[in-house]
Amino acid sequence: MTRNAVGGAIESTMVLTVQLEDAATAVGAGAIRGAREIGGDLGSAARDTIHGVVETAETEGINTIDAIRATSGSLIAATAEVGGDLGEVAKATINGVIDAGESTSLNTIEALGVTASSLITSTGKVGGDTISVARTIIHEVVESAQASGINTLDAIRETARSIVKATSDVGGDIGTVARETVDETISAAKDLGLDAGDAAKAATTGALRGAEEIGETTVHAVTDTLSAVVNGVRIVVRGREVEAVEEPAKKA
Amino acid sequence: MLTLVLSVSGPGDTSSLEVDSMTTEQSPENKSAIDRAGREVQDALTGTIKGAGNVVQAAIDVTHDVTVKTLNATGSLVKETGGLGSLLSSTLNGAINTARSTGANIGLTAKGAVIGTIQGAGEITTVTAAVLSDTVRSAIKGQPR
Repeated sequence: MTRNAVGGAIESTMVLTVQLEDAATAVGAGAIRGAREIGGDLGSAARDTIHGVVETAETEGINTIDAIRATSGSLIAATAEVGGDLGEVAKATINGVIDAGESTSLNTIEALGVTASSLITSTGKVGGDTISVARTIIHEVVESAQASGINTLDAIRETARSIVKATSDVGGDIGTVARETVDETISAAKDLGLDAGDAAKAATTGALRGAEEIGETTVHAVTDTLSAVVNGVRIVVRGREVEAVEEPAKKA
Repeated sequence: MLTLVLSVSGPGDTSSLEVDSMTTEQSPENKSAIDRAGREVQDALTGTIKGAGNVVQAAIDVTHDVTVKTLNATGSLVKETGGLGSLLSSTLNGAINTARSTGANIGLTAKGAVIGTIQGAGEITTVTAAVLSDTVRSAIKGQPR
Protein backbone atom coordinates (compact mmCIF):
# COMPACT_ATOMS: atom_id res chain seq x y z
CA MET A 1 0.00 0.00 0.00
CA THR A 2 2.69 2.51 1.01
CA ARG A 3 4.82 1.44 -1.95
CA ASN A 4 1.90 2.03 -4.33
CA ALA A 5 0.94 5.40 -2.86
CA VAL A 6 4.54 6.60 -2.97
CA GLY A 7 4.95 5.29 -6.50
CA GLY A 8 1.78 7.05 -7.56
CA ALA A 9 2.94 10.34 -6.10
CA ILE A 10 6.31 10.15 -7.82
CA GLU A 11 4.72 9.05 -11.07
CA SER A 12 2.13 11.82 -10.98
CA THR A 13 4.83 14.45 -10.83
CA MET A 14 6.51 13.18 -13.97
CA VAL A 15 4.09 15.02 -16.25
CA LEU A 16 4.74 18.23 -14.37
CA THR A 17 7.77 20.46 -14.21
CA VAL A 18 9.16 19.40 -10.91
CA GLN A 19 12.43 18.70 -9.19
CA LEU A 20 12.56 15.00 -8.51
CA GLU A 21 14.47 15.52 -5.27
CA ASP A 22 11.70 17.73 -3.95
CA ALA A 23 9.00 15.22 -4.86
CA ALA A 24 10.96 12.41 -3.23
CA THR A 25 11.45 14.50 -0.11
CA ALA A 26 7.73 15.20 0.04
CA VAL A 27 6.63 11.59 -0.31
CA GLY A 28 9.13 10.37 2.27
CA ALA A 29 7.81 12.83 4.81
CA GLY A 30 4.20 12.00 3.94
CA ALA A 31 4.78 8.29 4.35
CA ILE A 32 6.36 8.62 7.79
CA ARG A 33 3.72 11.05 9.04
CA GLY A 34 0.92 8.86 7.73
CA ALA A 35 2.39 5.74 9.32
CA ARG A 36 2.80 7.51 12.66
CA GLU A 37 -0.78 8.79 12.61
CA ILE A 38 -2.22 5.29 12.20
CA GLY A 39 0.17 3.86 14.79
CA GLY A 40 1.96 1.94 12.07
CA ASP A 41 5.52 0.67 11.96
CA LEU A 42 7.84 3.46 10.81
CA GLY A 43 10.44 0.94 9.69
CA SER A 44 7.98 -0.76 7.36
CA ALA A 45 6.88 2.61 6.02
CA ALA A 46 10.49 3.58 5.34
CA ARG A 47 11.29 0.25 3.66
CA ASP A 48 8.19 0.42 1.43
CA THR A 49 8.77 4.08 0.62
CA ILE A 50 12.33 3.67 -0.58
CA HIS A 51 11.34 0.57 -2.51
CA GLY A 52 8.45 2.38 -4.18
CA VAL A 53 10.63 5.33 -5.07
CA VAL A 54 13.32 3.12 -6.62
CA GLU A 55 10.82 1.09 -8.65
CA THR A 56 8.97 4.15 -9.91
CA ALA A 57 12.13 6.09 -10.68
CA GLU A 58 13.37 3.20 -12.76
CA THR A 59 10.05 2.72 -14.54
CA GLU A 60 9.80 6.42 -15.32
CA GLY A 61 13.43 6.66 -16.40
CA ILE A 62 14.41 9.24 -13.81
CA ASN A 63 17.58 9.51 -11.74
CA THR A 64 17.21 6.78 -9.15
CA ILE A 65 20.28 7.77 -7.15
CA ASP A 66 19.06 11.35 -6.71
CA ALA A 67 15.64 10.04 -5.69
CA ILE A 68 17.21 7.72 -3.11
CA ARG A 69 19.32 10.53 -1.68
CA ALA A 70 16.33 12.82 -1.18
CA THR A 71 13.99 10.14 0.11
CA SER A 72 16.46 8.72 2.65
CA GLY A 73 17.08 12.14 4.11
CA SER A 74 13.41 12.97 4.37
CA LEU A 75 12.62 9.66 6.04
CA ILE A 76 15.06 10.50 8.84
CA ALA A 77 13.92 14.12 9.10
CA ALA A 78 10.27 13.12 9.32
CA THR A 79 11.05 10.37 11.83
CA ALA A 80 12.75 12.89 14.08
CA GLU A 81 9.77 15.19 13.68
CA VAL A 82 7.31 12.52 14.88
CA GLY A 83 9.63 11.33 17.67
CA GLY A 84 10.42 7.99 16.07
CA ASP A 85 13.48 5.76 16.32
CA LEU A 86 16.11 6.99 13.83
CA GLY A 87 18.04 3.73 14.00
CA GLU A 88 14.97 1.66 13.16
CA VAL A 89 14.21 3.81 10.11
CA ALA A 90 17.86 3.90 8.99
CA LYS A 91 18.05 0.11 9.20
CA ALA A 92 14.80 -0.34 7.26
CA THR A 93 15.88 2.14 4.62
CA ILE A 94 19.12 0.25 3.98
CA ASN A 95 17.17 -2.99 3.86
CA GLY A 96 14.71 -1.44 1.41
CA VAL A 97 17.48 -0.31 -0.93
CA ILE A 98 19.05 -3.77 -1.01
CA ASP A 99 15.62 -5.31 -1.46
CA ALA A 100 14.82 -2.96 -4.34
CA GLY A 101 18.15 -3.79 -5.93
CA GLU A 102 17.03 -7.38 -6.29
CA SER A 103 14.02 -6.47 -8.47
CA THR A 104 15.48 -3.57 -10.44
CA SER A 105 18.68 -2.73 -12.30
CA LEU A 106 19.82 -0.50 -9.46
CA ASN A 107 23.56 -0.27 -8.83
CA THR A 108 23.14 -1.43 -5.25
CA ILE A 109 26.67 -0.68 -4.09
CA GLU A 110 26.50 2.92 -5.27
CA ALA A 111 22.97 3.22 -3.87
CA LEU A 112 24.12 2.01 -0.46
CA GLY A 113 26.80 4.68 -0.35
CA VAL A 114 24.34 7.41 -1.24
CA THR A 115 21.78 6.11 1.23
CA ALA A 116 24.27 5.86 4.09
CA SER A 117 25.52 9.35 3.36
CA SER A 118 22.03 10.81 3.30
CA LEU A 119 20.97 8.98 6.47
CA ILE A 120 24.02 10.22 8.38
CA THR A 121 23.74 13.77 7.09
CA SER A 122 20.07 13.99 7.94
CA THR A 123 20.67 12.44 11.38
CA GLY A 124 23.31 15.07 12.06
CA LYS A 125 21.02 17.85 10.92
CA VAL A 126 18.21 16.81 13.29
CA GLY A 127 20.66 16.48 16.19
CA GLY A 128 20.49 12.69 16.29
CA ASP A 129 23.21 10.26 17.36
CA THR A 130 25.26 9.80 14.18
CA ILE A 131 27.56 7.23 15.77
CA SER A 132 24.68 4.99 16.78
CA VAL A 133 23.02 5.34 13.38
CA ALA A 134 26.35 4.61 11.65
CA ARG A 135 26.66 1.35 13.62
CA THR A 136 23.09 0.40 12.71
CA ILE A 137 23.69 1.17 9.03
CA ILE A 138 26.88 -0.86 8.67
CA HIS A 139 25.43 -3.80 10.60
CA GLU A 140 22.39 -3.90 8.32
CA VAL A 141 24.59 -3.57 5.23
CA VAL A 142 26.62 -6.63 6.24
CA GLU A 143 23.54 -8.69 7.09
CA SER A 144 21.38 -7.71 4.11
CA ALA A 145 24.20 -7.78 1.58
CA GLN A 146 25.18 -11.26 2.70
CA ALA A 147 21.56 -12.44 2.54
CA SER A 148 20.91 -10.94 -0.89
CA GLY A 149 24.07 -12.19 -2.52
CA ILE A 150 25.62 -8.85 -3.48
CA ASN A 151 29.36 -8.40 -2.89
CA THR A 152 29.46 -7.89 0.86
CA LEU A 153 33.01 -6.54 1.00
CA ASP A 154 32.30 -3.97 -1.73
CA ALA A 155 29.15 -2.96 0.14
CA ILE A 156 31.10 -2.55 3.39
CA ARG A 157 33.84 -0.49 1.72
CA GLU A 158 31.45 1.91 0.00
CA THR A 159 29.22 2.30 3.05
CA ALA A 160 32.15 2.94 5.41
CA ARG A 161 33.55 5.52 2.99
CA SER A 162 30.20 7.32 2.82
CA ILE A 163 29.68 7.24 6.59
CA VAL A 164 33.06 8.88 7.26
CA LYS A 165 32.61 11.53 4.58
CA ALA A 166 29.04 12.35 5.66
CA THR A 167 30.08 12.56 9.31
CA SER A 168 32.64 15.15 8.30
CA ASP A 169 29.99 17.07 6.38
CA VAL A 170 27.89 17.47 9.53
CA GLY A 171 30.87 18.26 11.77
CA GLY A 172 30.90 14.94 13.60
CA ASP A 173 33.80 13.09 15.24
CA ILE A 174 35.44 11.29 12.33
CA GLY A 175 37.89 9.23 14.36
CA THR A 176 35.13 7.88 16.56
CA VAL A 177 32.75 7.11 13.72
CA ALA A 178 35.53 5.35 11.78
CA ARG A 179 36.43 3.15 14.74
CA GLU A 180 32.80 2.42 15.66
CA THR A 181 31.99 1.54 12.05
CA VAL A 182 34.89 -0.92 11.85
CA ASP A 183 34.00 -2.33 15.27
CA GLU A 184 30.37 -2.93 14.27
CA THR A 185 31.39 -4.42 10.92
CA ILE A 186 33.49 -6.96 12.77
CA SER A 187 30.61 -7.77 15.13
CA ALA A 188 28.22 -8.30 12.22
CA ALA A 189 30.74 -10.47 10.38
CA LYS A 190 31.31 -12.63 13.46
CA ASP A 191 27.54 -12.98 13.97
CA LEU A 192 27.19 -14.27 10.41
CA GLY A 193 30.25 -16.51 10.52
CA LEU A 194 32.13 -14.39 7.95
CA ASP A 195 35.87 -13.76 8.00
CA ALA A 196 36.19 -10.90 10.49
CA GLY A 197 39.62 -9.96 9.12
CA ASP A 198 38.30 -9.51 5.58
CA ALA A 199 35.33 -7.49 6.83
CA ALA A 200 37.57 -5.29 9.01
CA LYS A 201 39.95 -4.71 6.09
CA ALA A 202 37.05 -3.64 3.84
CA ALA A 203 35.64 -1.28 6.48
CA THR A 204 39.05 0.22 7.24
CA THR A 205 39.83 0.69 3.56
CA GLY A 206 36.47 2.40 3.08
CA ALA A 207 36.97 4.65 6.10
CA LEU A 208 40.40 5.68 4.79
CA ARG A 209 38.93 6.48 1.36
CA GLY A 210 36.36 8.67 3.05
CA ALA A 211 39.15 10.35 5.02
CA GLU A 212 41.12 10.96 1.82
CA GLU A 213 38.16 12.91 0.45
CA ILE A 214 38.34 15.18 3.50
CA GLY A 215 42.08 15.83 3.73
CA GLU A 216 45.53 14.66 4.73
CA THR A 217 45.09 15.50 8.42
CA THR A 218 41.97 13.36 8.57
CA VAL A 219 43.77 10.47 6.88
CA HIS A 220 46.44 10.59 9.59
CA ALA A 221 43.83 10.77 12.35
CA VAL A 222 41.84 7.82 10.98
CA THR A 223 45.03 5.83 10.37
CA ASP A 224 46.11 6.38 13.97
CA THR A 225 42.67 5.48 15.32
CA LEU A 226 42.32 2.30 13.31
CA SER A 227 45.89 1.00 13.68
CA ALA A 228 45.01 -1.09 16.69
CA VAL A 229 43.24 -4.20 17.84
CA VAL A 230 39.57 -3.49 17.17
CA ASN A 231 37.00 -5.97 18.43
CA GLY A 232 39.53 -8.82 18.37
CA VAL A 233 41.01 -7.97 14.96
CA ARG A 234 44.56 -6.58 14.64
CA ILE A 235 44.54 -3.83 12.02
CA VAL A 236 47.72 -2.46 10.50
CA VAL A 237 47.62 0.51 8.12
CA ARG A 238 50.73 1.34 6.03
CA GLY A 239 49.95 4.12 3.62
CA ARG A 240 47.14 2.77 1.47
CA GLU A 241 47.78 -0.83 2.46
CA VAL A 242 45.59 -2.37 5.13
CA GLU A 243 46.11 -5.67 6.88
CA ALA A 244 43.55 -7.06 9.26
CA VAL A 245 43.89 -10.41 11.00
CA GLU A 246 41.65 -11.85 13.66
CA GLU A 247 43.56 -12.38 16.90
CA PRO A 248 43.67 -15.93 18.22
CA ALA A 249 41.10 -16.48 20.93
CA LYS A 250 42.63 -16.16 24.38
CA LYS A 251 42.73 -19.28 26.48
CA ALA A 252 40.52 -19.16 29.51
CA MET B 1 -1.93 23.53 -17.73
CA LEU B 2 -0.42 21.46 -14.96
CA THR B 3 1.39 23.33 -12.24
CA LEU B 4 3.32 21.82 -9.43
CA VAL B 5 5.45 24.06 -7.31
CA LEU B 6 7.80 22.35 -4.92
CA SER B 7 9.78 24.58 -2.66
CA VAL B 8 11.57 22.53 -0.06
CA SER B 9 14.84 24.07 1.01
CA GLY B 10 17.02 21.11 0.03
CA PRO B 11 16.93 17.39 -0.59
CA GLY B 12 15.73 15.63 2.51
CA ASP B 13 14.66 18.81 4.25
CA THR B 14 11.05 18.40 5.35
CA SER B 15 10.78 21.65 7.26
CA SER B 16 8.60 23.35 4.66
CA LEU B 17 6.24 20.43 4.18
CA GLU B 18 3.84 21.20 6.98
CA VAL B 19 0.20 21.49 6.04
CA ASP B 20 -2.73 21.85 8.35
CA SER B 21 -5.47 20.25 6.32
CA MET B 22 -6.26 17.90 9.18
CA THR B 23 -6.96 20.64 11.65
CA THR B 24 -8.39 23.53 9.67
CA GLU B 25 -12.14 23.97 9.35
CA GLN B 26 -13.45 24.79 5.90
CA SER B 27 -16.46 27.00 5.24
CA PRO B 28 -19.76 25.02 5.35
CA GLU B 29 -20.24 25.11 1.57
CA ASN B 30 -16.69 23.98 0.87
CA LYS B 31 -16.85 21.30 3.54
CA SER B 32 -19.99 20.04 1.88
CA ALA B 33 -18.25 20.02 -1.51
CA ILE B 34 -15.30 18.11 -0.04
CA ASP B 35 -17.56 15.47 1.50
CA ARG B 36 -19.53 15.21 -1.74
CA ALA B 37 -16.33 14.66 -3.72
CA GLY B 38 -15.49 11.62 -1.61
CA ARG B 39 -18.96 10.18 -2.16
CA GLU B 40 -18.82 10.88 -5.89
CA VAL B 41 -15.54 9.01 -6.18
CA GLN B 42 -17.03 6.14 -4.24
CA ASP B 43 -20.19 6.03 -6.39
CA ALA B 44 -18.36 6.29 -9.70
CA LEU B 45 -15.68 3.77 -8.81
CA THR B 46 -18.08 1.22 -7.34
CA GLY B 47 -19.66 0.77 -10.75
CA THR B 48 -16.43 0.52 -12.67
CA ILE B 49 -13.60 -0.81 -10.58
CA LYS B 50 -14.75 -4.39 -10.12
CA GLY B 51 -14.81 -5.22 -13.80
CA ALA B 52 -12.00 -2.89 -14.71
CA GLY B 53 -9.09 -4.54 -16.46
CA ASN B 54 -6.83 -1.76 -15.26
CA VAL B 55 -7.62 -0.77 -11.70
CA VAL B 56 -4.96 1.95 -11.62
CA GLN B 57 -6.35 3.67 -14.71
CA ALA B 58 -9.93 3.40 -13.45
CA ALA B 59 -8.94 5.10 -10.21
CA ILE B 60 -6.94 7.76 -12.05
CA ASP B 61 -9.86 8.62 -14.32
CA VAL B 62 -12.46 8.89 -11.57
CA THR B 63 -10.40 10.79 -9.01
CA HIS B 64 -9.01 13.12 -11.67
CA ASP B 65 -12.47 14.02 -12.96
CA VAL B 66 -13.99 14.52 -9.51
CA THR B 67 -11.05 16.64 -8.35
CA VAL B 68 -11.20 18.88 -11.42
CA LYS B 69 -14.97 19.21 -11.23
CA THR B 70 -14.94 20.07 -7.52
CA LEU B 71 -12.18 22.64 -7.84
CA ASN B 72 -13.90 24.26 -10.81
CA ALA B 73 -17.18 24.45 -8.90
CA THR B 74 -15.70 25.83 -5.67
CA GLY B 75 -13.28 28.56 -6.55
CA SER B 76 -12.76 29.56 -2.93
CA LEU B 77 -11.73 26.06 -1.82
CA VAL B 78 -8.09 26.37 -2.79
CA LYS B 79 -7.85 29.76 -1.09
CA GLU B 80 -8.82 28.33 2.29
CA THR B 81 -5.95 27.06 4.37
CA GLY B 82 -5.91 23.28 4.09
CA GLY B 83 -8.79 23.26 1.61
CA LEU B 84 -6.93 21.51 -1.18
CA GLY B 85 -5.40 19.00 1.19
CA SER B 86 -8.83 18.16 2.60
CA LEU B 87 -10.27 17.67 -0.88
CA LEU B 88 -7.44 15.35 -1.92
CA SER B 89 -7.83 13.43 1.32
CA SER B 90 -11.56 13.04 0.68
CA THR B 91 -11.17 11.75 -2.87
CA LEU B 92 -8.42 9.35 -1.79
CA ASN B 93 -10.51 7.99 1.03
CA GLY B 94 -13.45 7.57 -1.34
CA ALA B 95 -11.30 5.49 -3.67
CA ILE B 96 -9.73 3.39 -0.91
CA ASN B 97 -13.12 2.75 0.72
CA THR B 98 -14.45 1.57 -2.62
CA ALA B 99 -11.56 -0.81 -3.09
CA ARG B 100 -12.15 -2.15 0.39
CA SER B 101 -15.88 -2.69 -0.10
CA THR B 102 -15.61 -4.19 -3.60
CA GLY B 103 -12.59 -6.37 -2.96
CA ALA B 104 -10.49 -4.54 -5.55
CA ASN B 105 -6.72 -4.27 -5.06
CA ILE B 106 -6.34 -1.52 -2.46
CA GLY B 107 -2.70 -0.75 -3.24
CA LEU B 108 -3.30 -0.30 -6.97
CA THR B 109 -6.43 1.72 -6.31
CA ALA B 110 -4.51 3.99 -3.96
CA LYS B 111 -1.78 4.41 -6.56
CA GLY B 112 -4.29 5.44 -9.20
CA ALA B 113 -6.11 7.72 -6.79
CA VAL B 114 -2.89 9.50 -5.79
CA ILE B 115 -2.00 10.04 -9.45
CA GLY B 116 -5.50 11.16 -10.41
CA THR B 117 -5.97 13.61 -7.54
CA ILE B 118 -2.56 15.24 -7.89
CA GLN B 119 -2.82 15.57 -11.64
CA GLY B 120 -6.41 16.81 -11.40
CA ALA B 121 -5.44 19.41 -8.82
CA GLY B 122 -2.43 20.41 -10.92
CA GLU B 123 -4.73 21.29 -13.83
CA ILE B 124 -6.62 23.83 -11.76
CA THR B 125 -4.22 25.21 -9.21
CA THR B 126 -0.71 25.09 -7.85
CA VAL B 127 0.16 21.88 -6.09
CA THR B 128 2.83 22.48 -3.46
CA ALA B 129 5.29 20.02 -1.98
CA ALA B 130 3.28 20.14 1.21
CA VAL B 131 0.15 19.00 -0.61
CA LEU B 132 2.07 16.22 -2.34
CA SER B 133 3.39 15.07 1.02
CA ASP B 134 -0.06 15.27 2.54
CA THR B 135 -1.56 13.23 -0.28
CA VAL B 136 0.77 10.33 0.46
CA ARG B 137 0.05 10.74 4.14
CA SER B 138 -3.71 10.61 3.49
CA ALA B 139 -3.40 7.52 1.33
CA ILE B 140 -1.47 5.70 4.03
CA LYS B 141 -3.93 6.79 6.67
CA GLY B 142 -6.76 5.40 4.57
CA GLN B 143 -5.31 1.90 4.38
CA PRO B 144 -6.84 -0.95 6.38
CA ARG B 145 -5.21 -1.53 9.73
